[in-house]
Amino acid sequence: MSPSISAVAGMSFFAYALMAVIAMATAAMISALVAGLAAIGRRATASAAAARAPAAAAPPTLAGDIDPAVVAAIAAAVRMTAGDHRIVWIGEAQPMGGWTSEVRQRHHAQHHPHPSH
Amino acid sequence: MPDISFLDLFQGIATLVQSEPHILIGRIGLMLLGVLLMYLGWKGVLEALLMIPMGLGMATVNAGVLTFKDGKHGTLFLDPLATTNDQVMTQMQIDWLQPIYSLTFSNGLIACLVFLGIGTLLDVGFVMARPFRSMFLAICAELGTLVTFPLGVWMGLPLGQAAATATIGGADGPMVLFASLMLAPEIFVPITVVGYLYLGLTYGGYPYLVKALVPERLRAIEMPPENIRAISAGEKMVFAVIACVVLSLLFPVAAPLFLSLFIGVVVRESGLNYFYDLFSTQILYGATFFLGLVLGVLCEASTILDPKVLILLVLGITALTFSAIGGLLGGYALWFASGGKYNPVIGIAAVSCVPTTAKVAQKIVSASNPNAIILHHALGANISGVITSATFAAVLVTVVRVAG
Repeated sequence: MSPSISAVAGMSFFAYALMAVIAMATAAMISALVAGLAAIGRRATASAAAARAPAAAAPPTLAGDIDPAVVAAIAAAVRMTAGDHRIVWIGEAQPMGGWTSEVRQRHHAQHHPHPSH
Repeated sequence: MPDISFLDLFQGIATLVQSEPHILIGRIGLMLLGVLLMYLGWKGVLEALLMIPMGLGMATVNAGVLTFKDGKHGTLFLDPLATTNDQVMTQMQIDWLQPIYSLTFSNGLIACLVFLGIGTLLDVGFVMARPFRSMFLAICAELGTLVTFPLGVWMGLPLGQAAATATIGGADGPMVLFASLMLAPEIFVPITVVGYLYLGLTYGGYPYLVKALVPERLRAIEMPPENIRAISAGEKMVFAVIACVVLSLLFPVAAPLFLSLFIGVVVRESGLNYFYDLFSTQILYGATFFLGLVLGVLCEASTILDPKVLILLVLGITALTFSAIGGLLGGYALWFASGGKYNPVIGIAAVSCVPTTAKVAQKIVSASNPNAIILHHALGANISGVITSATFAAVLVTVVRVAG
């Protein structure tokens, strides 16, 4: 036996109300998520800034007997091209197969966190 | 020269002549309708991506009916009535579209693939920037589904068929296909065809409705500038993961749709460019093409001609009209609550139909005031509409199954 029109209307209203509650709960979840992640982001930025200040005083570790003038030149060039990053180590590149670096580069390049699209 | 009659030589004409009068008229009518749909798609009145393959498929399948050895009429396209394993396996070796139908339609895979592609096009940041307003509008724009479900039962449809038809109010093609496969597999073809026909009409029809219900001075309202923090890709991914898991937990029956939608969002935001390119182009447009083609081919006169189609046509237009009115009423509510600063036209974008209705909203507003930019608000409501449509469809499927 098929249900009456009033029963179906009641069913429709129930489904609508349940959908509305879930949609609003989703909105509340989004709101909390955005606020929470923003707070975490602010805290991380603040702690990173605090950690960067004393580290800047430490000179880069030198591998082997590289002329300090060369180190200064490399550091200046890196600073100009890569931005304000702390240089931890400067030394000669380790010999390794060209194919591994190429594959690694391709792997990293296809997964960048800030897509341009 | 062998003694071959004209009708033996041209079997399509022979089967037309031998058909019952209503099938004959139906076949000719559907051939003309197919050509008309193609023309309207080509002219941009209807969605060309769907209507061109659908229209040509519809016209061709009704022309290409032949007589088999057992005297039955049929086509070499597909047989939707093949149900047993033997029948399906036999038809797969005869009908060229049978593999697509049996392996992607019957189980809803094609709807999920389209949804996956849509997911890669969605920037959930628009929703995350203003979640409550977007969701409120989307809830209002589900009015069509709310009204159409009992109306369908009142017009004589069984519970499952009425609920499946009502989902046209959600204005989401893959959702209509999915809900009708779950609730009314016996008439999923006419429901989906009617749904897609009307969804194609939203671009041409909704502007008239908006102009009738929103006066010019309100359509021209410029939204005040907002100071909103940019939402990062990581935040969007966290939202997508949580929403996907929680909604699937609540409604396992729609979990394939939720996964398809949100995995599209995750692919977009994670920077997996190879996947993004694949899903947002080849998969989305490939699935859309075969969806249109197979829907057209399924419109063969002997299988689609059903008195219920008229009821579905009435219910479909009712659902989409009420959803649009609901969205605009939501827009008016926000306009009132904001002291006249909110443009009520944004409400039309909450009728999901991504991204057509958002574009419609911006187009209407730009016609009244070229300086008014509301697209980012409209896209937020638009994407929320997808989420509420999926949720409403999931609730309906669950409720109807429990009641049935």
